[in-house]
Amino acid sequence: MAQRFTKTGHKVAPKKRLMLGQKLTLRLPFLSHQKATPAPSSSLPETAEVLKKRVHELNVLYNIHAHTRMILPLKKVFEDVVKDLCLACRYPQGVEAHIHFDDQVYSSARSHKKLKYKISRPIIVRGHKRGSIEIGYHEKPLDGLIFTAEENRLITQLGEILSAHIESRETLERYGKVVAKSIHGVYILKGDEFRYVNPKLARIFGTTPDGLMYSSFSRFVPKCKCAKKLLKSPKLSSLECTEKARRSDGKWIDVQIVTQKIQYHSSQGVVGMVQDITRLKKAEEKLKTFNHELQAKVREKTKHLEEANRRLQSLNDLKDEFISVTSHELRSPLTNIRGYLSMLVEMSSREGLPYEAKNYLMKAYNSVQVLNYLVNNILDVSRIETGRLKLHKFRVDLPQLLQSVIDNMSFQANEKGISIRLENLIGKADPFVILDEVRIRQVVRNIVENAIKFSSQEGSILLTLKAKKTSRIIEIRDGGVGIPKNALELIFEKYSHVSTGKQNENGTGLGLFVSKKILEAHGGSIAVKSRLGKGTTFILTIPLK
Amino acid sequence: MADTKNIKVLLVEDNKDICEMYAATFMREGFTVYTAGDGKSAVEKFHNKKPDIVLLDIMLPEADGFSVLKTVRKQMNPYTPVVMLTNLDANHFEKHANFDEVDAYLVKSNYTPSEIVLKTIEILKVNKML
Repeated sequence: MAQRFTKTGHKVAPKKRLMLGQKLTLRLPFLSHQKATPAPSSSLPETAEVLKKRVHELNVLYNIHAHTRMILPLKKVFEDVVKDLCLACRYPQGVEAHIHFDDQVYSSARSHKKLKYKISRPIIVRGHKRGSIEIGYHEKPLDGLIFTAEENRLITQLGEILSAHIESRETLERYGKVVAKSIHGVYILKGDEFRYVNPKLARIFGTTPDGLMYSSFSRFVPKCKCAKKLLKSPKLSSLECTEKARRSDGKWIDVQIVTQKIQYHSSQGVVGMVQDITRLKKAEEKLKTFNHELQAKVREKTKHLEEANRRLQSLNDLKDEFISVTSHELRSPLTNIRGYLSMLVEMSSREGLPYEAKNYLMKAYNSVQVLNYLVNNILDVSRIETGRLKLHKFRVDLPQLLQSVIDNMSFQANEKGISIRLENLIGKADPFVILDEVRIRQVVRNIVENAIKFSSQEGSILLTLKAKKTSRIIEIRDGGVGIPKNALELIFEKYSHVSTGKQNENGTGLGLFVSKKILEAHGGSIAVKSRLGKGTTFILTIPLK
Repeated sequence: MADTKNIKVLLVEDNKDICEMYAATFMREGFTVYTAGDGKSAVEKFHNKKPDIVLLDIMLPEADGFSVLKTVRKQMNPYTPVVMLTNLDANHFEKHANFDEVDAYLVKSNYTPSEIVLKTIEILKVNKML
């Protein structure tokens, strides 16, 4: 405990506190000083009286100082003060002292009635009146003088002392609590020695605050040189490190330490904060291991996936090859049949065959053509699905292409008595368009075939070719059964069939799907307009570039 | 058909029936037709007969259509148009050759012999040979 000073500046040994009622006149050092300079004009008994009063007052002040120690609870301080204060007054028997503080009353009397004659001083903490200290009597003293000047001074000083005391006490408590309850270990070092430790630090190092105080920091954290570095370098103000620390039970833990330079009793010291990160580190390591395991697992899975992918790829290749080979094999006999039938057809038109034979021949030829287109469509669907639909574009005379499709299908149309006509409205525009002839032929054929299929007997189909600045439009209109509204969106889907209640409407359901994809591959589009019972119009757009 | 008599067509096709069918149609249109049933004889006939145009299948015995195409393209002067006439997919063709090297790629099953002849005439016209 620090040395205490009385109001006059004399040293007083801390433990030799004067007790009330004790004979103290001769022991106090200032007494000799007082004795050496007696008031010259006073008589001896008077001087003794004055002296006695002074001593009394000083004694009370001293006692008040002794009472206002931080270690004592505030309640005890107040109780001691009111008791001693009464003794300081001229008439200790009749006087009462009260302290009002934060709605509590501390009184020298058992029952604290309101005092009739009193002096009161406020207790002000940080600018706020928190209470008051008062002394007084219920009855007027016999000599008529209620309070002496000394008493007035005393009570004023007391008010100030208590105010200062409470303010310091509250500040100390606040900071004390913050540090004591901190979740970090807090310490102050002078050199390598602990000069302050909070309970948390003691807990981290597995000991008590008393066990840590004045012991060496490096005993616990041998490798942390932060404090040394800080004290050496004038520029550094704070350092941080993560180190191993040895607890008092010998166990090693991981700690994170933040150190800062401070002024400590007018020389340099270090304040530090310690965090136990052992669990964090362990978790980190676990996470790392887990991460490694995860990566290994992902690698393994990726390998599996890659393998599966390879297998799928090879399966896909196999499927492709199968379709390629199958279509090639199918096409060879088809070429033969179609070729020879076409020669027969040509011959019959030259040389004339009986009507029936001619008819049978045309039916056969037609069916071969349909078969050929079916094979092509199936092949195309497979290509579209694997994203391998490729176009082989050349400059093609579009009106001629359309006319040739019409010519090719005229027999099929004639059989139903349907007429197909081309209306070329491009005028002076370029008839040549860069496109994949085989594919566009296939598209037009698919749609005309549908038109024939869904047209009634003796109907007509009109192909209109229009020129726009950047595209060519082919409209294919029939006067057939039409497509119900709810089915319009579906007709371009794969394997879609729209029931019209008519017979012979079978097909693969691939034609329009393939047609749409082919036009899209050209950068074009297909649209449809239809009215039930009135007919359907397909609008194909082929861009010029 | 004007002057088709002076046009020599080399028809490379291993399927006898198909070969006969095309040959007959070309001859009826007045062309002079040479046929080859395999790649090797196709190369020989190309050198010996000096055809004006080659109709070339891909799947052939001995040497395939791609190697025949290479031989034909090696000879720059005079330029000989080549029409690929096959039932194989164009995708397959692209893996082995370039479309720039041929004058047309026709899938046999999509055309009648007469249409093939028309196509051939078209190509000869483009090349100012007719």
